[in-house]
Amino acid sequence: MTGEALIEYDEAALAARVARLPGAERTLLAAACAERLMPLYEWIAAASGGAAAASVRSALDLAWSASTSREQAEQAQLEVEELVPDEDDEDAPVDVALVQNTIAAVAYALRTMGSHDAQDVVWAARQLYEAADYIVQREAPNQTYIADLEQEAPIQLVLRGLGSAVEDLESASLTQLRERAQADGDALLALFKAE
Amino acid sequence: MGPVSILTPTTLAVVLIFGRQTLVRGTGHRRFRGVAMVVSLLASVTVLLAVGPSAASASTTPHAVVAAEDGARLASRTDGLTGALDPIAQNSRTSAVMSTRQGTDVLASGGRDLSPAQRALGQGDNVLGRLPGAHAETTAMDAAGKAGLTPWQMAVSLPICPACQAAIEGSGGTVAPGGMFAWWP
Repeated sequence: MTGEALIEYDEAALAARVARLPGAERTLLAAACAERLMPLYEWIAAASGGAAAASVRSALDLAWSASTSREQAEQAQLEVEELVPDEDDEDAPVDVALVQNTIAAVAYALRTMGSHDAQDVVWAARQLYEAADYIVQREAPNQTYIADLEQEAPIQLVLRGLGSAVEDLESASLTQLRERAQADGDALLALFKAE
Repeated sequence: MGPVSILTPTTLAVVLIFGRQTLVRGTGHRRFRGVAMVVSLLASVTVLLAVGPSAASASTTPHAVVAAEDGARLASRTDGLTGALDPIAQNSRTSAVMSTRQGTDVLASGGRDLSPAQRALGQGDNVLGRLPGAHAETTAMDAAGKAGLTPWQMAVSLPICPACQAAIEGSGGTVAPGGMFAWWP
């Protein structure tokens, strides 16, 4: 992977690419993954009356900020990980999967701030891909899975987003990187609502 | 009576599963960590004491060994399914692997069902369960039924809940003490 749009989800290639990034850019890439999930999460949280959306938003803002200290990031990471719902919780929203993915992505972005570990960035990207898969699979009949994922619009959107996020790290400003992630997140929400 | 002579298919499988879970659970789940370890240890001893004497005269049969080996294999596959997830997901999702009398395994996860990485582990002669919103155990049982398969044994990554236990027992199955394993006659 060289920064262009991905044609398939290849974690090994992503990990190799991330490993070549400086630590601060790794955090931004993880934050860009989480940002792409935030519109989904905020929409679900609003629909289900969830009160934690603001704290998750604040946690992700910390990941975007260069002035966040390692201690702040670690504290926020611990707090946000506690918000990841169990899929079997009776009071979990219908689309708890997307809530899990979003909060986990934020947590991995914050982890990356402290660890600069490429694997934490890959885990953040994994959340984005899993969320797209979840949106796609909602169309499948029970006891079946849609197999040809790369042809599906949500998957194509996140693959393009991952590729462009890596590219943006090299050529775009922080503001542009974030705005593109937000725009992709809005597009993913639109696909979710349309599916 | 040697230690092997009290082993029925069930006790041998349960001991293997619990012994493995005691090691695995200690590194993972935040809610059941510690509790599961203690429960598993106590359950292993309880099962041996309760079932052992009545089975003392039974020698270890090839069937017992096969069942135990299958139980250990299922536990290993369940670990694999859970291990395919990221560390945070490992704490919030349940995995289940069921063997069937026909020899095909059923793989399942709760709620959101199997992730792409988990499905990649199930390529080949496996049934990949998918029943959105249902628990992993229910998903596996439903998948087996729809595929015309007869459940044999099932290992899970988190203790089986009361509702799933009722469903398993309603289908003629039994949940082992500790709730990490079930089997059907």
